[in-house]
Amino acid sequence: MRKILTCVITLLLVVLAVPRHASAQQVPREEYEKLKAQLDSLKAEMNEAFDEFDSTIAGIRDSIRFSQHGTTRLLFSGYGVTDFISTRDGESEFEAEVAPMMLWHLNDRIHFAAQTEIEAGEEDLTINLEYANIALHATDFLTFGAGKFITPFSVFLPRLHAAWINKLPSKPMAFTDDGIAPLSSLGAFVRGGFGGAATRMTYDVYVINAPELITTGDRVGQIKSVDGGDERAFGGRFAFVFLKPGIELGGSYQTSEVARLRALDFSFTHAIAPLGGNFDLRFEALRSEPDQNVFAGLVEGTTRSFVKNRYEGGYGQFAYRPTSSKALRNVEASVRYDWVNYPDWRDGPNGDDATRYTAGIAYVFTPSMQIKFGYESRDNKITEDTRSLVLRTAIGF
Amino acid sequence: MKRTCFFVMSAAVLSACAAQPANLRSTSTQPVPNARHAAGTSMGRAELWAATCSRCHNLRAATEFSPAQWAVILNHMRSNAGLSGQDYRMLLEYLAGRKAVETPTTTAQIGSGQK
Repeated sequence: MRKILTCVITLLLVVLAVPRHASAQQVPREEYEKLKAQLDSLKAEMNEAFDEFDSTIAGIRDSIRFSQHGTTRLLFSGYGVTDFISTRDGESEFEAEVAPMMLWHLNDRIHFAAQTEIEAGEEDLTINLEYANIALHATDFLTFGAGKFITPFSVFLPRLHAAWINKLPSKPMAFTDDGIAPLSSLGAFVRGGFGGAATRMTYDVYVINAPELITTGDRVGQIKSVDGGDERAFGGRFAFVFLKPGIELGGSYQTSEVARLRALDFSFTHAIAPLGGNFDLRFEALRSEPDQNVFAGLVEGTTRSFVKNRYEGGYGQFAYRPTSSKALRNVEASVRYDWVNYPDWRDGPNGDDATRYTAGIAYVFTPSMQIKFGYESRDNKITEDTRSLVLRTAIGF
Repeated sequence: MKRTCFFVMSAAVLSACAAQPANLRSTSTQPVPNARHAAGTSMGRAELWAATCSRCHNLRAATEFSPAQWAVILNHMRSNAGLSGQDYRMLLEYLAGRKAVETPTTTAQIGSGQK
């Protein structure tokens, strides 16, 4: 007890003996505020310097990325395809096609794209310039472009015709080289998209060299694109896109002196968990109406006239890929029904209308490389029906 | 007409089945949203990537192309698929990890690609 008392008294004496220097050396409030302000200012300057440094580093990093060989503003890519086609009557053939593509990215606003199509088959080697156009993204919702471009009429031609994208090893009859709408055209376009969180509206409006009406041969009444001429055709496509659950509904229209074209398209692409896979359902219908009077004027001295001047076609296609199955997740099965009806003439000939069923299966090695096998059953109104097997290997960019 | 009715009915049935969000499954050839961007606000970009690209073709993983290649490809797709500028920038950030330049205000800026 005495020890504790001694300690407490000693402590009190020490405390009283210590001079009160602390209060004498305390920084005045004013000076404190000044120092604090200086510190804050230094902090801000430092943060700014760090931001600038980060930005400079990011710029240097981008410059390095963009100066790498082969990955700069020019990108060479494309797609290649080989086909083996065997028909029921015993004929068979190999075909090959390569479509080199060049994309030139001047900056995030200006873009040049070109693609050629080189095809070897039964006939001689054919080389076509599929497209070569320059596009300027003027605003977030508006892109101007000019040159030769895939006609933004319907969906299959501008977006699905590439061999590595097309689910089946053949195109619907309405979209083949002899189809209703020409694949590409020369002219200018305005396009873009806008919308909310999960809904979009896309538009394409274009003016192109007016197509010509074919007046002789098997394709009489069809239109074909031309590289020149005084006349112009106008057209466009508008579509509503619902990103959830993946529905797109669009309509296309094109008018010119020789023919009026219309198309409707619908697609549904979605992964449905309870059904264990990815579904892809598509439907497109097209119609071309060649002008009766223009046609009569084009063929001198003829009294030939349409009984039915509609040239129409389309397809419905369904594809399923069981992505939840370990064994089958790289396999995609597809079925398609497509049809084409040609114009009929007074006193003949009538068009060789056709319907076709196609079933196919594809093995997806990588997202851009597949082997596809298809069986086609085509019924023609006039000529002999055909049955054929197609084996296709396709690789794309 | 029968054909049209058949397709419309099929579409309606499948749309009804698809009420739940898209399920992106991991397979050897079906890329999933990039892991380095899979958290937080980037999920919006991943969903946009999945919903936009699969409208036409199989999904391509971010690792398939370099950031510079993605910039070129997405600019091409912006024109082909009717993407808005905002969609383009979100996809570019998601796939290439890079921010696009802002909208230029003069012709000279358009030419130089600078803001």
